[in-house]
Amino acid sequence: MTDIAREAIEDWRVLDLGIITAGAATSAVLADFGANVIKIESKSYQDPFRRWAGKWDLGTSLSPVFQFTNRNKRGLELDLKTDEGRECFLDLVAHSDVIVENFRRGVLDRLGLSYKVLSKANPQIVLASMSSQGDSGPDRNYASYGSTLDATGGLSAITGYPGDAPVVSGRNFNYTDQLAALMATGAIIAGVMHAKKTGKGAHLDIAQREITAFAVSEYITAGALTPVEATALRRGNCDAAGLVQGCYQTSDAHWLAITVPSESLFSLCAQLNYVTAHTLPEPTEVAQIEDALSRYVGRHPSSKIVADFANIGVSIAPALRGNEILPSGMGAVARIFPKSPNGDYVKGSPFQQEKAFSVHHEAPALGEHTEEVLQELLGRPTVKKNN
Amino acid sequence: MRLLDRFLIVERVSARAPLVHRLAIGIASRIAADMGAKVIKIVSPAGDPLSNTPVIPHESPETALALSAVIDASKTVVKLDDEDPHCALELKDLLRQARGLITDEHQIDTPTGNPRVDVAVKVLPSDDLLAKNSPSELTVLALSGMLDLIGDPENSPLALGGHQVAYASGYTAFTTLMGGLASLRNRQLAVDVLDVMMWINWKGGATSAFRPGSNITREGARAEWQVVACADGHIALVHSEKDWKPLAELIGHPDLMEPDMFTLLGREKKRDHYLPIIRAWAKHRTRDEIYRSAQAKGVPIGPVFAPSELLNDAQLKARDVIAQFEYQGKMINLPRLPIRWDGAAFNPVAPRYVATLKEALL
Repeated sequence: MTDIAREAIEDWRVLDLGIITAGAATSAVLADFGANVIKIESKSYQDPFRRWAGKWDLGTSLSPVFQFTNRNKRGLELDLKTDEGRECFLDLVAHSDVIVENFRRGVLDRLGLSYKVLSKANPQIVLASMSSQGDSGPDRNYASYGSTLDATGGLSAITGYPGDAPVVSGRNFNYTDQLAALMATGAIIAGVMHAKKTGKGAHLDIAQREITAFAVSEYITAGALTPVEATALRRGNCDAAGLVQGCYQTSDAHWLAITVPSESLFSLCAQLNYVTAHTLPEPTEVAQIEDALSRYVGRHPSSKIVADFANIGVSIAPALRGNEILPSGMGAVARIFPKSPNGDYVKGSPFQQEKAFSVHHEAPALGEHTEEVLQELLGRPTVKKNN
Repeated sequence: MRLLDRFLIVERVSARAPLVHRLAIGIASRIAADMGAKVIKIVSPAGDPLSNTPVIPHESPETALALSAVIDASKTVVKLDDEDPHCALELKDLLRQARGLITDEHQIDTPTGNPRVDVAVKVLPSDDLLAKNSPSELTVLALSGMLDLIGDPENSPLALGGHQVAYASGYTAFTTLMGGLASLRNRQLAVDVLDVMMWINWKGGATSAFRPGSNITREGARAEWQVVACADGHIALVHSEKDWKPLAELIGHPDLMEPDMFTLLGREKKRDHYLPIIRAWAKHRTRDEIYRSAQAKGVPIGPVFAPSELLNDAQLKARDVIAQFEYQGKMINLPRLPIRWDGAAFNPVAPRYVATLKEALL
């Protein structure tokens, strides 16, 4: 049972059944706050990120993507498909605060570990179930990856070049999986705080498709108020931050992202030697200014454009490629790509606390801390009770 | 469900805050408000710039109503001139009572009484380029490497649609607030919008860190996962290694069953050959036919839905995802928080606009 001594988040225990990104990254963010996260896998059920195909498969069971998402966790080997494993898991639940899982719907029930069973082991336990479509509804068993959710959650339809087809974030990115972890963690913390206050845990049913839909809320609301043609939804790099905004290619073939807020339009026009007679340009004139900007940028190298535009109130930045991020020297790089004690890069924390983020555990090998965790939580070094 | 009803949270944004910070802060406190926190949003006497911000640039200004309804839902909004000494005192008193403050600048006062968690959404000074010039979502995406991941290599880098930097940062600021509240002491925490997007695009950094010289970039029509046109719109062609066999069986073309089609590398080499086969198959089928038949085989293909189509989606209707309230004479439809709490949904309500802080606290 959760005890008063574990009131502060730094003392919470999290049983991490999450895999790949959505579940495993949520537990990682809980670890960023200091929670004690225990990653549970078995030989027959390992996080697929350990061996992820493509550029990240280095032929070991500790692929970079696994290392990035599972630092600061301890590893426990436990086969939940066996009676012994299941019983041991319930013993651990009795000494924990949170369980994070992103199995397909129904898997936890089939393992005999429904929320009802878990809450019997610990009435204050918070079970966070992250799934594609949620725990109910006709499509509850449907499968997805992040890009499926881009499409079904309304994001793809508003992403794309003007007049062109919708676009998904793709396999190398999987945007919505990352997004899910950033919100789910806060909800889980709210759940545990509520459990500490009331003595009653909860089952949090977190639907990743709905997380995506929430991130396009204003488009759903606007669509109900004023129907808009599907193709008109895709505006390329336009948004409300600037009358003139887009990506422009320099003479040395770099792409620069430029946002010109309305109050800086005249300064921009002066820089471009573009003469406008209006206080605020008409939409047709915006197109002409964009054209003049595109020609101006195309005539000069990136460094000159950044210097020229530094003091005229526009926001400007190079569109960095993946391999340009680490050498860029930006402060964000040091925070988001710190190094572990063994010198490898890992993923940092998405927020800043008073004390800088540090890596105290590298991602665990399968079952690396089994004895240590069982001894610490259950007072015995093995899964079996009679040993 | 009013889980956070014991918390008073103040949302306060400086006049010079860029749109991305304004939105992110608004989204973070909206989530807390939907969960039952009493959120008081302070706006300047000149009004809130969000109320004039259209959802779709250069389109109907009516859509500005949508943005303010979404961001301000479940909050109490009050105009306050903090340059006025009396108002400044009132604000100081409010902050003394508050358990949380979401802002773009840390406060200099030291909270007394209850511990208070301050979350500042901003660009930290070490991010020179953005700190010097007010950031936009596009320039944040550019520096995070995300712009180079979306779209076509023959065309310009492409941003994700809508306000994804603001939403991702808003989700993070909410989580940061909750983590602060759970640590039971005064906290001064920060969310840097560039950090958040770089955290999301961690694979970009990871790739070059572990395979020097290697890169991931936008692949357009060469991508393993991409959008394919069908009879009534588009579907997202998404699959993992294990999904290829059922997908190939579904499409029923012998070339898709060739041994080299079962590996990532093999498919990459034969993209120009097999994609036309899939496109021809999809062309005569509807989104629904493709979605249902693929999912019946466990293949994670999904239809591309316009945001307005989600209003009538059977799955979302079954889960009562869309809430409604009346706002400025219009019926507003908006998604609820994507979380069910022991089966119960959170219920957003229309923003409440009041004239004084005293009324706001009632």
